Amino acid sequence: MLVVAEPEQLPVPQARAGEPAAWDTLFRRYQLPLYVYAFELVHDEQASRDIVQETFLNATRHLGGLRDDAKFGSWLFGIAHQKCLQHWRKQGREAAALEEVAAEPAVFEDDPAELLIRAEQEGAVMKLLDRLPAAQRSVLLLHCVEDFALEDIAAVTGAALGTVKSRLHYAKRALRKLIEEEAL
Amino acid sequence: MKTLREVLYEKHQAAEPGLDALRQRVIAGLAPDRAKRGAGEWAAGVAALEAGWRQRLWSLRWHLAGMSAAWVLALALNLDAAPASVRRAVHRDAPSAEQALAALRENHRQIREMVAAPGAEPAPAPTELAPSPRSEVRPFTPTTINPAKTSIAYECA
Repeated sequence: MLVVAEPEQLPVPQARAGEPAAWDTLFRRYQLPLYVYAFELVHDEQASRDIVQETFLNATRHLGGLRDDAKFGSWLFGIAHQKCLQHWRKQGREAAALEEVAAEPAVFEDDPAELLIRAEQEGAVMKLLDRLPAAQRSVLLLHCVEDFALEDIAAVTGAALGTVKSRLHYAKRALRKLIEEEAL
Repeated sequence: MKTLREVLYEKHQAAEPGLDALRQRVIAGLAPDRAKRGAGEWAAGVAALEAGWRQRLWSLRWHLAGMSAAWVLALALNLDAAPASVRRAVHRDAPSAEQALAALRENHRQIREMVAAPGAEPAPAPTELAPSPRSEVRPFTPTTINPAKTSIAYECA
């Protein structure tokens, strides 16, 4: 059972002071979201675990550099995102796929309605997620898994805000289209 | 009906035990890491200094090699500057020990002649003072005053 704590309740100051219990709380909170994000990007179980571990280790070393404690989650995902890029580079894949700035129109129709998936649609949705371009997939995951604000997603991925908006728009549109088709 | 988040979390729920173990390993490594950090700072500083010097020397390797080669060349040219034939000729023309001694004596003689040049007053012969017995105590009286001299001489009678 995942325990989701509000950002302001996270013991970031205590972790900065070096309390292991505080780190345990933080890591327990983010271990599965980070793993989900890494796995859905790199599609490798062992590599995803390694990315989570390296993210945790980096966080313990560099927490002093975090200015706003409320941004701990997006800061942690930013580390994980960089680890995913490094993994892709090691694999010889084109890491630019995650960093690409596609010539997409910067339009975004903010649709507050949550995409709801029926049990029989789950397999198709997962397949579609895999087929999405890595950049769109990354943005969609950050939006759906952690419900990050667009500004936070831009900070995690290092992309411009307009680019994040358009990527999320296209990813959600593709997903919604699939769900509607499956519903027919 | 589920959200995408719920679908994803359910899909990866099986990874939780492995992630728990991973988290505990990282947490367990925190305390020793903090203890080591202080002790390791000095070693890290020394290592960084060494690395810096090594890197600097390595970057100057071609300059240093060039300078060394220039010094070796200069040394070789300096040794070779006086060829053996010249050195032999110099050695052959050098006066023998007897000649040098004779020249030295001649030089001394000339200096003596110049010192004892005609017209110069002969130096007065030094007055010999008779050594006085130490055991005998005598009254102190001035005896000789030489007006030619600027100083007054006193003698123990």
